[in-house]
Amino acid sequence: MRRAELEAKTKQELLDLAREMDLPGRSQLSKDGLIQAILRRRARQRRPAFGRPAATRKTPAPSTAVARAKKTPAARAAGSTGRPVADRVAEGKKKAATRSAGTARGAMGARSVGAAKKAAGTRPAGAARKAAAGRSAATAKKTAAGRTAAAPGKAGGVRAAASKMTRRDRPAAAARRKRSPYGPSAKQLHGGAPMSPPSAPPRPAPAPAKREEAPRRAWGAPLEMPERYGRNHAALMARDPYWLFAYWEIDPRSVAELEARLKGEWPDHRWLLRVFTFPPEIEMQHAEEGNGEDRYDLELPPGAVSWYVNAGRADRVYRVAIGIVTRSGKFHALARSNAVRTPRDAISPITDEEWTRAPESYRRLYAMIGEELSGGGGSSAELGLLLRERLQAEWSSGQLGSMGSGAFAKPAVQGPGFWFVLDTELIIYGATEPDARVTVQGRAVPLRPDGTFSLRFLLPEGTQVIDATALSADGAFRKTITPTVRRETSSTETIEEQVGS
Amino acid sequence: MKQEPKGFLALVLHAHLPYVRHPEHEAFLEEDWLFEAITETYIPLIEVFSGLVRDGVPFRITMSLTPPLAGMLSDPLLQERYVRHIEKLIDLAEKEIERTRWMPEFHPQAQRYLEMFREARRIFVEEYDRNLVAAFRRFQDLGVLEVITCGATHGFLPLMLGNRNLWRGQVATAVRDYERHFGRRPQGIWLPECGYEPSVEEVLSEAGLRHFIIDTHGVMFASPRPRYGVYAPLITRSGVAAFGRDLDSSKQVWSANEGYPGDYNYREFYRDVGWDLEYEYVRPYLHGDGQRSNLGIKYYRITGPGNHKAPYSFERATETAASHAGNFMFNREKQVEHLQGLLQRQPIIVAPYDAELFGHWWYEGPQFLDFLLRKIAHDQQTLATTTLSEYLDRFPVNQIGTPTISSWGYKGFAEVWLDGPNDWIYRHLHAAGERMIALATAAKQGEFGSDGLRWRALRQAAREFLLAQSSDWAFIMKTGTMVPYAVARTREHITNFTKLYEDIRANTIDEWWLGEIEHKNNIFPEIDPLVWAE
Repeated sequence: MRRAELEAKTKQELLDLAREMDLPGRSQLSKDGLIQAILRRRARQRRPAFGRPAATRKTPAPSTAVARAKKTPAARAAGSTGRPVADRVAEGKKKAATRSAGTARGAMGARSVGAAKKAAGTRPAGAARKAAAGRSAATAKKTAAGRTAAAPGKAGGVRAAASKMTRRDRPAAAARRKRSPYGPSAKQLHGGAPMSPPSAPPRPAPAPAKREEAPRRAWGAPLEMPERYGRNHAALMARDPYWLFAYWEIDPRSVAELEARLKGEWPDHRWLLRVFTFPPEIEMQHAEEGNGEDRYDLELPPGAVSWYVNAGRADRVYRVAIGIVTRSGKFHALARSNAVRTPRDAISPITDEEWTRAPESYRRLYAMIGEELSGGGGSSAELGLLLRERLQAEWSSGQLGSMGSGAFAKPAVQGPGFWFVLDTELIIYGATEPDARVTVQGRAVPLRPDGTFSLRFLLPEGTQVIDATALSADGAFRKTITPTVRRETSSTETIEEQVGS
Repeated sequence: MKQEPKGFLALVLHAHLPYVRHPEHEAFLEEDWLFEAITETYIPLIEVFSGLVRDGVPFRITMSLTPPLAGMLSDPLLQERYVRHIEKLIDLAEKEIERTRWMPEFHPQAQRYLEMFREARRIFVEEYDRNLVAAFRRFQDLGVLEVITCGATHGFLPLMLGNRNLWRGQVATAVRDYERHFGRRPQGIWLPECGYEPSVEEVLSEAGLRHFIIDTHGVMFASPRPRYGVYAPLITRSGVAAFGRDLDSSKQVWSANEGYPGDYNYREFYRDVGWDLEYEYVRPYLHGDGQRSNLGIKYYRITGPGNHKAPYSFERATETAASHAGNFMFNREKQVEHLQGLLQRQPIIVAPYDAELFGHWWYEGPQFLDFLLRKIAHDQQTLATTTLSEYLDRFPVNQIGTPTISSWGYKGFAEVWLDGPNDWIYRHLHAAGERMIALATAAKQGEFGSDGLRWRALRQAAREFLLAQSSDWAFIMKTGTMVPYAVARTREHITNFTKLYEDIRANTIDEWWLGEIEHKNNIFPEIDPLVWAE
């Protein structure tokens, strides 16, 4: 049966089908989960006995090794007893999953787990929830970090921290890169998002949600993102008109080869990032080959795998090489990057004849975009500068564009300072004959099948007279109960003596 | 008879959300992004357009509907989940009417929310049979809306090492997907994050696109110097037109300090019942883990800079939106008059915004648009609205030039997507890109023959690769909220891609696993991996 056919069924029909197949945990599954579970069962039943069992995939992680141990006999048994493999496999997975609880590799591993966990008959809570909780906690309301830090385009703290990291001469930045050259590891992710910026608000204690134990990926082979690609490679990107970003990977074997080749020269070797500069008019493919008009070297700390280069010049072509310089001063390149052009940051000096304007009208037009240009010669350099200043002022003023999906992830936070809010609600509840008619303040109130009812009101200041009447179904009896409720709120605000200072 | 306008206003709304769909979970927090945007932005915009069409108001607007968004809007699972979501909100709003009965400052608002949610449900389920893409298609077919496409997964093109095959993967896939939804080819494209780099236009031209939009400085710093600044398109050497953003109209809406959305009469985004009300009462409407979150009912206005917030008044906010629309129109009229004198031709003012600003962030935004378009149609004769394609049809002769590398992100270049928190992703994206090209090239050369399973795996590899390229992940890592999710998504897609790559190479495809990820990451049913081939 194909997925589409299953999707056409109602959830009840799928449940019936799942019952026939004796799928464990079916009552807990969503419609989609049911479809997945049914398909999976069928796939397993179709799988020939000599087929490669899922568990024999390469490089299993410890937790899956457990799963494999459980699975293999199950798979074998399936051939002889005809008992559906899926059940036993699922059991194995469930056990494996439980043992590795708490080691989920961030949300990704955890989420992939969902399907199989459903098969194993438990709700897919676990790690994904944990990740979600972490997220929500980080975005939680009303923290002192304040609304500005989180408002769109206003991530001041983030920006400041980020620009600090771009200084190539900052040891801290180097250390940071050294620490996580290939992005956050699974462990870091689990440990609480090292990538979150320093401005992330402190976590208030969330309502403790009950969490099930989190399994690792329970189906398929354990998948890990590659950390390296096993080659010598360098790439260069332009971040803005003045900054470049280079990353690279050097295969340790090629370093070893170089060391063997250089022998006596090897001691005191240093790692260098060599920056080649090309004139703006060069064609990119020529820059990929040549060595440029100029070059300079940056010394790299050991273990660096990426670097921000303050190239400093807009509309220039750059290329870098990563390599080793020995005590003789000879540079041995191990990887060369692509060439890249930095963006232009000024009005072009080039005009075309067909579309040329008189300087005066240029000045006035560009003034509309580039703020008032009173007086001044209106040279292209000045025009460009003014325009740039205006643009920069806009960018820095905050939100001018590109809200992106961040728009949907904004936390609600109170402004700075200590805060305290309080409100009151009133719950009125009661019961009568199930077929009676009840009114509260003249308005009909729906009764539950057992004759009970509840109402909930936001309670304003002052007095509320709440007349409630029940009328029997035959209209013979009428009973009225009238509570009167008064709210009177006062508040004070004092600043206590400073504590501990 | 209306006289010839002195200039044109092209409003451009960029509607985009990353592909977030988790069939493996009964409910998933990040799927709420879509649901909130449907209730607060897409449906209100559809209501505005419907009203204008019904009343015979002439208007033109350009809108991008990115492939991930169109994919989610037409996905049966998410459609079903949206109905569940809106029904819960209706239930909550019904309770709110009771709860606020003694509070005249809140009670009418609660009634309004209930109406709004019921209307959203009606439009979604009954009017468009759960597929809102059909709504936008309808307005396009009526000639009032130009829907443009975007990068397939909103990949930021300037950080792809100038690789045309990678650009082609984003652009050609998007164009193909657009045809599936709209039954015609797109004429324009919203470059993801307005990220432009010279040569991108060659790929756009190949895909049959006529125009794209870039930020102000992309055009102003073009070479040769643009004669009309951003007030006329610049034709690139491939013949595709580049429209530049007008700074003034952007600033009036966007600016955190001077922008309209910050007016004290407008609704306060951050005071939401999901956070404000007693926990047990809102608990049934929160996600499974019970974390408080926005639910979409908000009773306060911005009021002022402090913590004190006064109750919202719909009437006052409406008046304010009307006056802002008037102010915006007045400024554009003055701008057009001045420019026409200066340029000696009818200028175009291109005013692009994130669509989700209207309604989601700026609750009164759709109302503002409604007032603005009605006022432009009836209250003045200086300017007319246009779509970008319509303007090109009308003014085909334009200056030739090459814009400069630029984006509409903070500081105007690539810093948002290439910085400390997210720079680690590029070594993986680029390696995957090379591998994708290698696989596609091998497939094109017949290496996989007619091995259906390998082709299936290749198509899935293309999907995983595209999903990894979404600029949203880098953006989220940079902005610092929901970071673990963005990191996990990047890792997930790179990991899946890598396994597919290795399995295809070794011809050891795990069909069951492939089926699982095909089902999970099901974007682009008609994907063609050969667009990456050399």
